[in-house]
Amino acid sequence: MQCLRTPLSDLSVLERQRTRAEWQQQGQEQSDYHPYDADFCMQNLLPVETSFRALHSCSGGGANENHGNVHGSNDCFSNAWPDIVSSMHCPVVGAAASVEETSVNASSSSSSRKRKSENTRRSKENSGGSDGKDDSNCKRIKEETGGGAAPPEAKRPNKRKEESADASKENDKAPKSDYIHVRARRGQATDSHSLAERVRRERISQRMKYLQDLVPGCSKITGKAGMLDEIINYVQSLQRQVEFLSMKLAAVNPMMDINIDSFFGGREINPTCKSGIIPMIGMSSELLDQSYLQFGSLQHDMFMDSLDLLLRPNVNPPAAVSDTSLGSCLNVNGSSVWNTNLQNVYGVEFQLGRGTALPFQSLQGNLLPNNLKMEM
Amino acid sequence: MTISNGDGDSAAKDGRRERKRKRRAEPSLVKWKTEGEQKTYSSKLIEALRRVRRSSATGAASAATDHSRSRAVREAADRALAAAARGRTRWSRAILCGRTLKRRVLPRAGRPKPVGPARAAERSKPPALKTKARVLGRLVPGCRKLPLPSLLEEVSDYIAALEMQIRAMSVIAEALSAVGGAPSPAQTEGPM
Repeated sequence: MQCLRTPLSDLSVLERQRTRAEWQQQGQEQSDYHPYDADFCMQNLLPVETSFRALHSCSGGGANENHGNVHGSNDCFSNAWPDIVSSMHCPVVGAAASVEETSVNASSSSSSRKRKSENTRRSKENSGGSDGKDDSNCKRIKEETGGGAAPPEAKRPNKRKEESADASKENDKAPKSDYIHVRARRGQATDSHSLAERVRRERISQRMKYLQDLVPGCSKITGKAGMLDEIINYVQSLQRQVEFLSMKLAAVNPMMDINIDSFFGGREINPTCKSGIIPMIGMSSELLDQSYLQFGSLQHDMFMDSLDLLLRPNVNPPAAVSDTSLGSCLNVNGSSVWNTNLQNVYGVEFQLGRGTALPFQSLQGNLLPNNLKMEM
Repeated sequence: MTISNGDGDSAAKDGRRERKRKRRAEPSLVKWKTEGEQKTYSSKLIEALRRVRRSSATGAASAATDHSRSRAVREAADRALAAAARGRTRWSRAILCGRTLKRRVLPRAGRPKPVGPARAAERSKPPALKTKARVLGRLVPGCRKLPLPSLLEEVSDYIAALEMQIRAMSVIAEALSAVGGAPSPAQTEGPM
């Protein structure tokens, strides 16, 4: 079959070889066409190809898959090939475009199922946890038809580059979004597994989007793996914070005054507590500082670093504290959680310690318990 | 994010199908942000703290090391948080019923290899997503063997709850330390 290779500018040697193998297996009479070789078949197939494409673009059917898969990986689709190829070759002999369409469409549904199962298996092998089975397969096919970069599977022969380079022009005509949509529709029609998978993937992506809003700093990250990393880091930092705060509470606990519960729950304020709080909240920064030193440098996340940043300069030169330093610290954190924490912690102190209306007074707003606010 | 496959049509269909399949509404995370919820939690937490203090006071004071005390406080805080969740989420239920069970179950000899569908290729190269999902499942209490979509839901609720917990605890710590600092104003007032 050496002569096959020479005139080929398009569709494949490999396809030929494959089909030949299939035919020999199945013992179809069409193997008789092989001696005619490439030239005959190729000449007839090229127009077939273009007509296929035209058909595909207007029908948007699963025949598109066939076309895409022609440039796809060889091995898995080998099972699906006989249907398509036989259907393609009958019309080659007959040279009737309409026959091609119907035969392709007829076989495509049956072959699509097989191909899908092959797809999923292969994508699991190769993609290794990419977005989705269908998607990864689509992407792979597009990569190849995009032509340039080294194909992910090293086993592909170099001839594929030529084919894909040529095929890329044609395949680009078929819009990629339609490709996915088409698959979805057909998948829904035939395969309950792919339907379930699609639903599952949709759900996952919905939840990931939701989490993206929840976790600060995730808007730039695309891709599930990176998002999961961020989420993991965030949950770990939150848990570490809880640990730290619980340690602080445990240290402070023995000194706890019973009247504390008047601060919360909107009950009446104990006047003694009120007078006790006002001068003392000004000391809170010192206490926090001491407690921070006491518990050591357990925490290295943003929260404690920012606390440190704010504590040191603010405690010693209280007059020199400007809005800018706090503002910059608050901006550094860049997340609402830290902002609320910091405002809770420091806004109170500044309000009482200075008695001036500072900008973060308004920021605090509803963050502090009502009773504390009233005391200011 | 470029994760979602299709637009409009298939997504809508899937959404409808999904709703038909399971009529469970997504738990709203707004409740963790409300001030009322924080106050409720704070009062619950203070009660728990008082209990912890009493229990540590009645017990041997020497036995109550800093570490054990902080652990007790932390567990009380988590249990209060789980109670505030009203048991609608998996992690809250796990915290409420599982605190003692977890310690016994922990020394498990060797993880049984997860039997996936008959795909040998998948086992040879576990997708990074799966391992990360497992790590995440270990972080959130009670969500170890959860599949990814429900895990993500639990995680979002857990994150919101944790944030509220941190806010409340910092406020309480602030207030407590302020009141606790009352007897010694002289030293601290110097540098100011």
